[in-house]
Amino acid sequence: MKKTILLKAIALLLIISSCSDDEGEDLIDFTVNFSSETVGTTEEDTSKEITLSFSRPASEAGTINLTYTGTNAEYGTDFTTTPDGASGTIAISVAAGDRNTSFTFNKLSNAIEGSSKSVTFSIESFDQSDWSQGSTASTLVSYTAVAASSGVIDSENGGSNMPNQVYFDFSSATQTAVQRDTWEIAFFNGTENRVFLNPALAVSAVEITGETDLLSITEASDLPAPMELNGLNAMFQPEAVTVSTVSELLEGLPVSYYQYGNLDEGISFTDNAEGTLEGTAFSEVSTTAEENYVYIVSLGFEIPGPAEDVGSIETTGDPRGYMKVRVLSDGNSYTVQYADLAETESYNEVTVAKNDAYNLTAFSLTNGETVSVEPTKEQWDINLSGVFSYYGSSQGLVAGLTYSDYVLHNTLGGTGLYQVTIEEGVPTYANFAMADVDESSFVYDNRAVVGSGWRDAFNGTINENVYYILKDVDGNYYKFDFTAFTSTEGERGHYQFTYERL
Amino acid sequence: MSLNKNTNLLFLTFFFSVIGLAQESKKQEKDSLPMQQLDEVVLTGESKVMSLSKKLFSVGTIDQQDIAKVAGNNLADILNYNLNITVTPNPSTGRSTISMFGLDGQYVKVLIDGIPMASDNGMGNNIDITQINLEDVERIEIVEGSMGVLYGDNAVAGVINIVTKRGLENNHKWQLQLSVQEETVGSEYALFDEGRHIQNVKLSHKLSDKTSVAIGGSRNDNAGFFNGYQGKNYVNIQDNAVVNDSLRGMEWNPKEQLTAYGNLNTSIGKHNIFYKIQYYDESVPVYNHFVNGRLDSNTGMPNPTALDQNFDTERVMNNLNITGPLKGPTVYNLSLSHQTQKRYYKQFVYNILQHGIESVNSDDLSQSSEIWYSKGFVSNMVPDRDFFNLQLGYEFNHQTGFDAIATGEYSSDVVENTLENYDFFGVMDFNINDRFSLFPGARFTNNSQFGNKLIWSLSSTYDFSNTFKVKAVFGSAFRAPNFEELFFYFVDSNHNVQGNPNLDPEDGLSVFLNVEEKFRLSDSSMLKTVLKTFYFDIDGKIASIISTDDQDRNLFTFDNVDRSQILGFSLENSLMMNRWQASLGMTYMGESTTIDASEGISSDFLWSFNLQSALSYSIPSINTALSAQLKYTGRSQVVLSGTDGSVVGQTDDFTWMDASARTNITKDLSLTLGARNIFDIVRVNASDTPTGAHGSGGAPSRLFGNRRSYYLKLLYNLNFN
Repeated sequence: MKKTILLKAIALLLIISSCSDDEGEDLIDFTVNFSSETVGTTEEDTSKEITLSFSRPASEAGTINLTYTGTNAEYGTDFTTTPDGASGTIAISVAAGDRNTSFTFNKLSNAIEGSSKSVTFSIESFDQSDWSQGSTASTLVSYTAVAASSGVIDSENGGSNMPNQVYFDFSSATQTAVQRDTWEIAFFNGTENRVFLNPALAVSAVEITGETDLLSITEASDLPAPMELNGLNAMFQPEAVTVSTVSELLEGLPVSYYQYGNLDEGISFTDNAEGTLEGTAFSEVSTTAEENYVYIVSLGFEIPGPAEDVGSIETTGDPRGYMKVRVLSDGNSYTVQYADLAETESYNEVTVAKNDAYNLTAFSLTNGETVSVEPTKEQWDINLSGVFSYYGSSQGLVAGLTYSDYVLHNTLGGTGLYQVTIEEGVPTYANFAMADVDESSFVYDNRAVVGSGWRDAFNGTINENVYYILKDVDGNYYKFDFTAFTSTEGERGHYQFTYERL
Repeated sequence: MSLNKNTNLLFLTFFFSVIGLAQESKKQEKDSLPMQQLDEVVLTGESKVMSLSKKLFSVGTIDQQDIAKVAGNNLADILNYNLNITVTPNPSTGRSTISMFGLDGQYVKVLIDGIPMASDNGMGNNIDITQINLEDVERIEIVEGSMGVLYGDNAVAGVINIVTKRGLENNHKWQLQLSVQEETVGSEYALFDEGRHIQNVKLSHKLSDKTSVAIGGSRNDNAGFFNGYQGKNYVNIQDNAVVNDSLRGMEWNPKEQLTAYGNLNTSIGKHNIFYKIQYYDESVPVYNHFVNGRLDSNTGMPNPTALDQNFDTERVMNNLNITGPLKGPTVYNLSLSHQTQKRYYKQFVYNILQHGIESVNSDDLSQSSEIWYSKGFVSNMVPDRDFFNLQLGYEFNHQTGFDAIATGEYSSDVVENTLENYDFFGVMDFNINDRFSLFPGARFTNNSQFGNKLIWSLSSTYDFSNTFKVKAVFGSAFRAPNFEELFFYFVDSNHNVQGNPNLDPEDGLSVFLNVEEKFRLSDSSMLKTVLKTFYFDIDGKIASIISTDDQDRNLFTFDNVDRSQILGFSLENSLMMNRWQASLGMTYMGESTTIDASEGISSDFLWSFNLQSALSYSIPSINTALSAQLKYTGRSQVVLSGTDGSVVGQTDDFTWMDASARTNITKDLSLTLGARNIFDIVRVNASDTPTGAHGSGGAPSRLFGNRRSYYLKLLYNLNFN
């Protein structure tokens, strides 16, 4: 008997000690939120996308039902929705795997001065019993603009291959995403005649000094005069190279660690990182045609497919080849002559007039036309460039460098920016106020102040002891702080920052 | 999680059947014998596999009693006490590997009943020794020296053979063993989610005089070691922003292991058949120290998440061993084995504030291997000659599998690889006279990866008397290049790291000289002293090199360029005297490394000293045994190739001590109480830890222990008919 009790006691002990706490292994609750409590519209807006976001990707498909109530607004006369909501409810379907969904608010009339006009949308029900409302269960869509003084921005750079460069304007909270392989060169619209390269695509260019005949230069050509350049050998040690033919030159033209250059002689095949007018790879375009020589342009690298593994990046694809380019100017417009490097018969010629509304007019050599890239010069403050390349020095190594997660600010347009490093006596981001602004710290002559130092790619963290103060062209002051450079799934190229007007 | 549920179910099933059995039997259990298996080691059905190596090499044995003294549940719990073995845990992956004579786990072959064990991407070597459960183990044999002739590739530093217990120890028909073990991890312990919780059950049954069966299971739930880290639900939020203080997660991630096994031992005529099946499942979550502090764009509030991982390993082993006489005293020994190993990799987004998974990035089979293995030999082939004898054998190994992680995260072609080995070996005995014998041996290997290879050995013994013996062993062996060295691939704009499929095996050679003398001090006391001198020479050692590829880019790859020589002396004494047992051993060992033989950078011998001692005392009047073990691991130095030539890196010395008391409360119930790591070792300064191009700051160190821990083990053993 005694033995049986003992045995049972030990068996019980075994069972108890083999238990463990399993909490935390299941999926978190699925909740649905409106992306913001209020949405403003302007007079020009005829429709507005209203977003509902989820606490996690939906594990099964379902439907969200919304209701609405109008203040001085009637369905059918003042607004409609897509999907249709004439019945009083709007059914929005969700597919498995979705992180958010949206519907369209179509504006049929405008606000009448002196009276408020708005529509409030509320979450009514779900067809999935385990879905629930989050904290923002309704949103008010106003017929007038709602001034945004702060916000959280999820950048649209597009993931681990960073296909897009993104321009952001703080005062209008507007994000403009442009695929970074749509242009190679850009013409400066100011008084000087300057040509910039696309650093987000690792475009580089070399002047064939003394040569003005575009068609005479091919890969088989000799250079008019040998060039004394520096490169790196296989062991990453600096090595002097003398280049006397085009084919030798091409070995060191594309941006890579082995790119040639000679900083002492002022020879760099990329624009400088700072983005100053004096630092372009192209010499200033002269209004005297004979002073403008032929350039060989490396068109950079294709945008590759996304990285296969979470947490890594894939930004440099196959080389996009070379073109020869010659740019002329009359002071009010640029004339670009260009052809494939092998071409000896004829070249293309396009004339681009200066447009004072923009800093730069981007041009695609592959399509032979101008491309809309930057917003007008007052309507962007920072450029979340993603990829960024230049020839320069990093940790003692002078080479063609390619960065990821790079951020620039609009120095050509007059935006000022400085970095605050948190240390003894320096306020934290949350505590920084207008009185703390140091007017003399704003940098107007170096676009690369933010650069990539805001994140630690090796550890996968944000550099938490820095944030940034920005002054836009209209004199508005903002502080902004990065909160993420990966998605929650760990994919690179998904930046997030929070900002507040001071 | 599914593993947990399975475990609980399995144990419940066991217990219902067990309780039923116990009740049935209570009427007839008057004549139980004392707890024999704990008091004395009885070798039943001893495996013949190792008998030759005992003649040829020096073999150290860890028996059940030694295992019980330290309440060892897996091999990592006990191997530390071996003088020439160091156990190095890797806290982030949960793997523990060994080094023997300063050579890492890739040079040591681990066998189960003479059959190599499937490892992550190989066979027998680089084994995670925490995965080897000791519950049905009779003893562990440690053979030192290059044993290529008998055991094939990778048996360079030595061989560890785990011998399974066969049959029952006494005349009872049934034996039931239940045990629970509760252990702290440092000062961390909670009934469920801190510390280490072990449950074992084993049931053996003698079907007839010739046949017995056993089934059992063991669960080891190690909740990990926090050591200041704050666990998976920790996040530091200040001013509405996540501050990454790297305190999330754990120093040593949790690990849950489940082993289930069964075996059958039977004799048909003079032929003995032993079959063993074992299932192993292990789950290791890896908690990210870094938190993604994205804000919820609706609310502006932080929604902290972390990218966590889980590794789940499953292994099934079927081993069959048949031995018997072939003709007169000539005997054969045939082993067949089929083993599969699968590792599942899951990566998911863990929502820290909501304590749950937000989304699953991947949940895939990342590694899989299947092994067919056979070994057979015939010994004592010339029984009628005193002077000459011969053993001949073969070994065959066919392995197919893939490893997505070893080929590199960036590899786009995770291809299935097949490796095949055909080996033939023979060992001759020349008994020159009664005292002097010579044993030359050779093995021919044909490997599908690197072709043919011939290895050899020569042993000789000279017995001055029954108690004074000298043994000299020359042996060769090779280490085959591992999966990563052959097939790794990581190429992008900034990296160009590729394995080298043309690598040759590393050639290893060892020379051992053993002098052993036994002294009978009195009727009840004896002293045994062994003096060993050993020398290892590993040539064509694989190291990473920088070369250039066909496009003139820097290529980081591997080649057979290094050479390592190890010279050592050890003295081991063991004394048995009445109720006392004591041992004292020390090793003085030096290693000289030539980095990149073509450049001829070679170091002097770098010396290290190890000391090991054990003491135990039994008090029969209260059925209690006390024991203590101490191991001093001296400073070890290695030559590393730095940017400016070679530099010497070192791991500092440390001392490890355990003590325990074991007592029999009743004749069926015993209790073990003990302390591990009495000197409270956690990290030991080490300047030889690898730092890559992206090395992080902080004083480099190696983690060896998880602070002073205490354990209690309750073992219930029931014999009945």
